[in-house]
Amino acid sequence: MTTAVTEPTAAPSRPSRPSLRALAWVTWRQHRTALVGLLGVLVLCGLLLLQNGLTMHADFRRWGLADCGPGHHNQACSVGIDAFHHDLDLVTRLTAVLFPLPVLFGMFLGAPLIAREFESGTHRFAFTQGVGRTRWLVTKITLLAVLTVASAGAFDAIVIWWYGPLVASHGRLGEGSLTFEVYGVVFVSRALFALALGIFAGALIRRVVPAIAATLAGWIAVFTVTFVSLRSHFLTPRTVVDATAPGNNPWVFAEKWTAPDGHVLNSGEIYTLRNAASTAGHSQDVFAYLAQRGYSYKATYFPQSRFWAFQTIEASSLAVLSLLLLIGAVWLVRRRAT
Amino acid sequence: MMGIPEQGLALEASGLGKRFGSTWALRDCGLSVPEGHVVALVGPNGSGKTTLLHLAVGLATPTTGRVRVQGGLAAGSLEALERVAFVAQDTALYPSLSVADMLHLARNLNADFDSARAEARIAELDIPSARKVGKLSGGQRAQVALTLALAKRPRLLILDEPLSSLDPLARHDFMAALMTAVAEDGISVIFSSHVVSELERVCDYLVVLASGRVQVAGEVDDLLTSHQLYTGPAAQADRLAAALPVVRDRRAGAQAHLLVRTGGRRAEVPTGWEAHEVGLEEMVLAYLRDPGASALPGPRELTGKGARP
Repeated sequence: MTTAVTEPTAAPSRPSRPSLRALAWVTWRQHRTALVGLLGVLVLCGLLLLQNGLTMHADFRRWGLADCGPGHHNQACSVGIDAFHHDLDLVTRLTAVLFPLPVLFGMFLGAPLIAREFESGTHRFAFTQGVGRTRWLVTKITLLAVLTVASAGAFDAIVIWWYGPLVASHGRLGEGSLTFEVYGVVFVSRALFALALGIFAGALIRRVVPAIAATLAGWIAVFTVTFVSLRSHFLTPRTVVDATAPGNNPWVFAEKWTAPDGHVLNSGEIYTLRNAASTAGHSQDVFAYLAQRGYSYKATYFPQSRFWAFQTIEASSLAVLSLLLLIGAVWLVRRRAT
Repeated sequence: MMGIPEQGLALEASGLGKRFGSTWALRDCGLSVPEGHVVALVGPNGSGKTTLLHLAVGLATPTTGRVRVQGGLAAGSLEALERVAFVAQDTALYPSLSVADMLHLARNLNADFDSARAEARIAELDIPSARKVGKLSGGQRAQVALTLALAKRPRLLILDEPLSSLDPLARHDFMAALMTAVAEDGISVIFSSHVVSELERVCDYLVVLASGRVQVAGEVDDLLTSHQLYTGPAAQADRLAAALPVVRDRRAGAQAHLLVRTGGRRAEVPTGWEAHEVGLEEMVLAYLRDPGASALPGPRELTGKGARP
């Protein structure tokens, strides 16, 4: 200790800090517009699902489609499946509307959180209050993350009810299927990830509109990469050789037919071959029929039973990524003072 | 312990520097401002006033050196944030919040917040508490910001250009409110200003910044007694200027007007010369015109290297 250091005049008793309740009020007051807007969008979509679900479930029952799973091909089922086609079309369209919803949490709640403070200069007020900027930020982030997970989770419950009847007949896992995005924990974790990405982008860029744009771009990039290529590497696929079809509604992402003479069939040839098998009365046992005739079949696939495993892996990866982004945002705000 | 025994230091900087990119906004700044003063931080735009104040409240982190507030608390630490209130330039309040909500917000961000006093002040000032902060006049907004800062019950109040956007009447009212608070609470105040007039009435300690360096620092009374305006024959002016620290040298025909730093004592006036007292404004302007001149208290208690523990 050198003489130049002056002692604090009043011994600093640990000052009391604002309560969580006080900071919850601050969070609500500052973000209620975005929160109410987001909840409004979710409620609107929820009502849409409710309305569509009631009709679709009724149709599903009317045509007795519960008994028309794969392997139950009879005349009544064929009629029912045809009649249900319209409902199914709507389901696909609604799914396409729903899957980008999580990014809204990042664009309208996450991105402005820090960026707006810096852009309008109000960080000079916020960061100089007794609470301290770290506690201010961590409490806000925690509360908003909880609200995001809760509202996305509640919405997801509606989605699960809505899609319920189709799980057995149409599956939730497949090449290019968006059902995986809206059904289950992945939807919720995508909302959390969007929020975290938005907060981080805001802390880094410090301007609202560019932060929103960066959030959107980043979210789409992560979504696309996972959807197109990453996901199929999360688990080791099963491989089936000859004779057996790969289960019920499998997610087949690589398959190969080899002719008796050893050459690999192209898609046109496969189509012709399967048509020929159907014409010959073997639409139910195509694989066995063709195997008998010397064609060999090899497929790499994931069965539907892997759905929750995939969901868990993807959701927890996104959660970890979100946590890292949030830690990064807090670090940026603590470090980059002006 | 050394320093002033009964009082701590309101602001204490040593070797303090802040660089943005390749430009130094503040360089090698050493200051020891005792508690209990109303300190005016004066300098032209871009001289580093805001940077120094932001460093003092933890909104910026130093590139070099260190800064402590209110008796040795690290700037921006939780203890410092509890005891030091800051009013940023143009108030930095949330424009979309009503005055009442802004008050509520500040109460929720500070554990020891005097809501009753804040509400009473707002009512006394006739500021409609349902109105949005963004819709208030500049003077009202400044008063709200001051109210919030005082309700924190700080020991040190730092204000960045509180007067710059106010009209003369609002300026007067604001300074009156500030002075009342100082008298009632006995707090230290540091405020920056590029307006040099009327400083004499409000501040009793002066810091002049020029191009990112401290040019003048000291109690106003000391500074005034140690500066004199010498008037005499221009022919002798060069000889005198070589012997004495001259802040400003103005020649008018056969007459020379030298603003001289006399060293605090009733220095003897050279024969043939007349000595006049100088006003604070005149003195400050003289320093601002000549960034090379400086008047710093000596011997310096803190130096960049010696102060490191």
